[in-house]
Amino acid sequence: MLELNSVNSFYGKSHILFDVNCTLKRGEVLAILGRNGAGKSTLLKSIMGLVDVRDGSIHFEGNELTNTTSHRIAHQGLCFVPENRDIFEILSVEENLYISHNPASNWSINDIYSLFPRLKERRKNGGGNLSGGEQQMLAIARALVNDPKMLILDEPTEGLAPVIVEEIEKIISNVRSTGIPILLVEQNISVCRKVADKFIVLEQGQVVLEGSNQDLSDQTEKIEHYLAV
Amino acid sequence: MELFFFQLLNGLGLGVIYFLLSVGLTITFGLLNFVNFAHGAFYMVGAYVTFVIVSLTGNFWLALLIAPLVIGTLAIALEQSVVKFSYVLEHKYQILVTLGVALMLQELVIMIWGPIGKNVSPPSSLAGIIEIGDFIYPKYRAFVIAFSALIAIVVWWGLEKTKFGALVRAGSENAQMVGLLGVNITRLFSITFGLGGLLAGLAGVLAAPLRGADPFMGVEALGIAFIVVVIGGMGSFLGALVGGLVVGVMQSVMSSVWPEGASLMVYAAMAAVILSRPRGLFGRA
Ligand SMILES: Nc1ncnc2c1ncn2[C@@H]1O[C@H](COP(=O)(O)OP(=O)(O)OP(=O)(O)O)[C@@H](O)[C@H]1O
Ligand SMILES: [Mg+2]
Repeated sequence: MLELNSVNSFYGKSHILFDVNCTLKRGEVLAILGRNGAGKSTLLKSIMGLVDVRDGSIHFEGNELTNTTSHRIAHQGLCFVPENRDIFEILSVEENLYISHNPASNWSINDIYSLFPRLKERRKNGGGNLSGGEQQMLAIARALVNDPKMLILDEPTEGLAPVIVEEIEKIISNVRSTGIPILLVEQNISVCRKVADKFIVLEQGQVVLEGSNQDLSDQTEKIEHYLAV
Repeated sequence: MELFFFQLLNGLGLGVIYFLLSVGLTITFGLLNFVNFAHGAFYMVGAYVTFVIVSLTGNFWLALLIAPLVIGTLAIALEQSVVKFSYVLEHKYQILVTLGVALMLQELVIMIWGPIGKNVSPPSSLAGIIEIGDFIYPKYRAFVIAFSALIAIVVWWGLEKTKFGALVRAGSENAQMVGLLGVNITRLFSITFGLGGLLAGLAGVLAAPLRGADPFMGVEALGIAFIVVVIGGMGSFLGALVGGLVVGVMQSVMSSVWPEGASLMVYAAMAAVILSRPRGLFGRA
């Protein structure tokens, strides 16, 4: 479904990603690990057309995404939840969902409210008045109502309390079971073990390790070595 | 007392026109972070299109319908041909580019109709006065207040209650994220710019029977629109409404109390707002 072929990405003159390859099939969750500054977010932004990809190619369902504008990429069903969530603070919770809502989606706004009762309670609240966990829920919900063909999550559990992390794990498994593939940047190995089918580890913009869910347990030490500061 | 009330109403009428004039400027600034010095020219050309339609057909209502559409189209054409290439530039270059456009439009109008202003008469159905007890008021001015209030409600509804309006508000906070939801942000920009131009054109239509059409009214309007936006707060609908009314009422009431001081008071109000609330009455931090 998604195929990255020796992708090289740049911010101006700085070369950040070097010949990154990876593939993702229907119903799969691919975890991207790596320490701070390794290039994980840059990889997601490259897919979403937010970063200059100078060499290599990115295909989604056979369509070339490289150097396409991000709204066209999003329009093809790649729904992105950025690292800082980017909730619209001047809009209410409901409006945040409403502007993203696509009637073709498996999730209506009401489905979202039964999935996240907390968002229903706070639906008239401004996006700026939410807690970190609520913002993360809203950001994921906003992607789900957009009719995703693929979900791209950048560190969705970062800085959140264990109960909320569990809730997010559940949502990820739930989405996976509908067949929608997920690209997940995640520093927390235990979350990856629970939800990911396979993983890659990035270091200084290069893929240095890849493996299956089983390898996440078998090679914990090796992976932790790459994550340690 | 009656004179005061009369001037207050005149000020309201002026104020709602200032609102229509400024709301496009403030929204495009909020959404695009774009400084448009050609905005006043939309108002001026709106008045001239009204003059042309009224002299050809004698029908003001036709002008009220068509002129804003003409100006909206002009604004979109301008956005597509010039403005969209200057979003990435610094404000000072945006000012140079749009000031150039404004001067071109002004000179074009002078070439066609000369430097002397043209009169536009109000529609005959609104020519007289209305009497409420002892109080008399020109019908056309009363119409301007009512009609602009209606348009203000429509604009508010559009911004607050429609998906398009929510996208405009979202875009003024984080345009990139709006794009990531699959929305063509470039198109959202140009439609918004066009609607802002349309409203300035509408202000020009409504103003034409009150003050005629002249080539320099655009420059004057631009100055007023910036004062309104600074007082109300960049990017704020409510700011444009309150700012427009404050400036309109102040100018009108002052003109009977202390005519020489009318502009001075407006500038003083602007200075007071800048000093106490640098982002304007309703500006976001
Ligand atoms: N806008 C930018 N301009 C220039 N360099 C950038 C920019 N954003 C990130 N970088 C650099 O690119 C490299 C990769 O950053 P990236 O954000 O992809 O890391 P990351 O793996 O997501 O890290 P984190 O875990 O902290 O989110 C870093 O060296 C960073 O300094
Ligand atoms: Mg990151």
